[in-house]
Amino acid sequence: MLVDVVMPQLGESVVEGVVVKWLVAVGDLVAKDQPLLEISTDKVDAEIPSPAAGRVAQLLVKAGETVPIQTVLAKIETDQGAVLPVEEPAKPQWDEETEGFPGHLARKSGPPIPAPPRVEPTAPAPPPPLPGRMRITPVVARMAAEHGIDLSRIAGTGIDGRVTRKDVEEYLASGEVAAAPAPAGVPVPPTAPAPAAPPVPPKAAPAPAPKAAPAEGDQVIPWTPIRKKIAEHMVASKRTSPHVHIFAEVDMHKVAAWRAKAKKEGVSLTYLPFVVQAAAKALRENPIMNATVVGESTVLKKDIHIAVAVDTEKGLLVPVLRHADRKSLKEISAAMDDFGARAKAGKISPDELSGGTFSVTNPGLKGNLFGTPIINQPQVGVLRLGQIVRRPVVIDVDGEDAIVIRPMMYLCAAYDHRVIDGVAGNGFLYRVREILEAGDFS
Amino acid sequence: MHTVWLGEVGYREALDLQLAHIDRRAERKIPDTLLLLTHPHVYTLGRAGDDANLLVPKETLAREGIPVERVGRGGDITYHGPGQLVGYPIVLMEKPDVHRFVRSIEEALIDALGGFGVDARRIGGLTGVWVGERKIASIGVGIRKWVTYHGFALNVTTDLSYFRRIHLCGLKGREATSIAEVRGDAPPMTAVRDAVAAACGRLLLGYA
Repeated sequence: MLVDVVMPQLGESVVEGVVVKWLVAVGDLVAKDQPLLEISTDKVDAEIPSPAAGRVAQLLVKAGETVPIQTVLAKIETDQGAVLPVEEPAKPQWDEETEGFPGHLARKSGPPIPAPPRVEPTAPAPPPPLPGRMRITPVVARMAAEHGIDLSRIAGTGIDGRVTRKDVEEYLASGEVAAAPAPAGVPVPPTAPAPAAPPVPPKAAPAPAPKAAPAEGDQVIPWTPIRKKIAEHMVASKRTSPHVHIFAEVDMHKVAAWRAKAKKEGVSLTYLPFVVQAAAKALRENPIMNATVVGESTVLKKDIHIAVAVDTEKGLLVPVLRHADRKSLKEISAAMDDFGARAKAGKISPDELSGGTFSVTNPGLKGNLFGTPIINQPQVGVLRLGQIVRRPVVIDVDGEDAIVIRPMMYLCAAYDHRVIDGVAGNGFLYRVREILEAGDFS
Repeated sequence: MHTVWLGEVGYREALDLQLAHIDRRAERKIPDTLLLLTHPHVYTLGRAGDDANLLVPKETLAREGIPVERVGRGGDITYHGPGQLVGYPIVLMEKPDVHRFVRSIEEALIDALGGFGVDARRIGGLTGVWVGERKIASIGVGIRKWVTYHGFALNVTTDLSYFRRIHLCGLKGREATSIAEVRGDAPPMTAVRDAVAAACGRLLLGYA
């Protein structure tokens, strides 16, 4: 069934309005109430929501046109199986550059016309809207897909910080694509069923911070969108999850022996793949650590996808190693090498940066003994490697205490205490340590 | 109408807060709500706003740490900063009448200003509230999901020099004023806030 989208009457004295911009294109799937277009009248701009779920069949008015109220602006096909008209409908005019139009004022004369009916029969299963609140035009979405760009990396100059075609073109021209570093640590937007941003209670508004006026010579660096995103992600994680950090001291001498053996076979392994495999194995045995929170439920994830911090010259990337529990050491190591190489070349796709169910992070080449990582929401756990240091330790040799030199590592696990109790969290870390110390790899 | 005083809130944070309120208002989980707050220094451009109405280079503002934001409301460029009472009415428009809505905001502000001995008025064809030929309050409203957002900004003790760096609302030669400038002294922000909240509660009715 075709449902009309009509120019609504926005007031008794308003008889016409300007179509400022289309937010959808012909063929797009739209959810009920998803914004279809922006219209403008005297001093008031409005987004017109879709009256029904379905597919955009026709756009009948071009951006920039002034039309009387009740004009049919578009048609939505609510029958998913219906064949769309083949004729090429009028192409909407994307006004990306100006994001606006010369201010037309709505005329204020003419008889009042009854308000338009707003609610139409609902079609089942509306398609999911765009992730988050990021609203982009189809043109921009297509460009992003073609060039494999993560739009969150681009500072939008459009309305409400929206990324415009011009922004994307400038971004591509700047050659930043190849070098774009992912935020350090963990702030990659997950595709896992992230609970929608919780409605912000009014009281949670930031308290007026004491004003620290920059002094002469201070440098003020306004946050870029990506910086802001990192900040929000970090604060949201700390606010959402009561983090518990626990540490284990791990004797890595068997891992070192494995590495030495592999080296003789001409395979160079770092310590990371061992920890990733140990974590994957321990996650399989402790599913509560491989989980996410949805509303007031804990969802144990079937698959184990481990987000691994990879150090690059430009910064840290956290690509996701899918089905880490099914991979051999060599496969994990090869994946790490591949991620590393492609990260340098800027060839990591956004898909590979999302969907993690657990994270492993390390302090990089200039490491240190231990740190307390922040959980990558909506995951519930993260593991952090410390630097591996050769230390004298006391071990048991045939019932006698002996001092030997061993490569030792502090391993920190953070877990979300909302859903993971101490026993479970401790059990997980203990198991990771056990696997590493036993040299139990495949 | 439910009123919330938020103190000083960054422009983007306030926008996010409005969007969260819009969603909940559209789902009828909350009543009509007036968010009252102040912003740190910021210049904002409406959808149709023209960069050329900003009279100083953006780089200068960036050095001072003052952002320029392009936002989804009507109107041209304006300034927000300390000493200015900002109100964002989140009102569900079941029977949309946006012109009446804008006129009602003007009326509420004129009403509230009268209580402080400030004789404010409308000027035909120009949205906003004026004292003589000078603008004391700006209005710019947007609608999403049939819920209003953005709103008004009333100068209480605003440092008016910040307005001299823009063509106010795209109007050349128009100047801004404040309650403090008109009266020579200023009532406390809390008193203005309460008067505006009361007037809005009386006048922004009848849309649902």
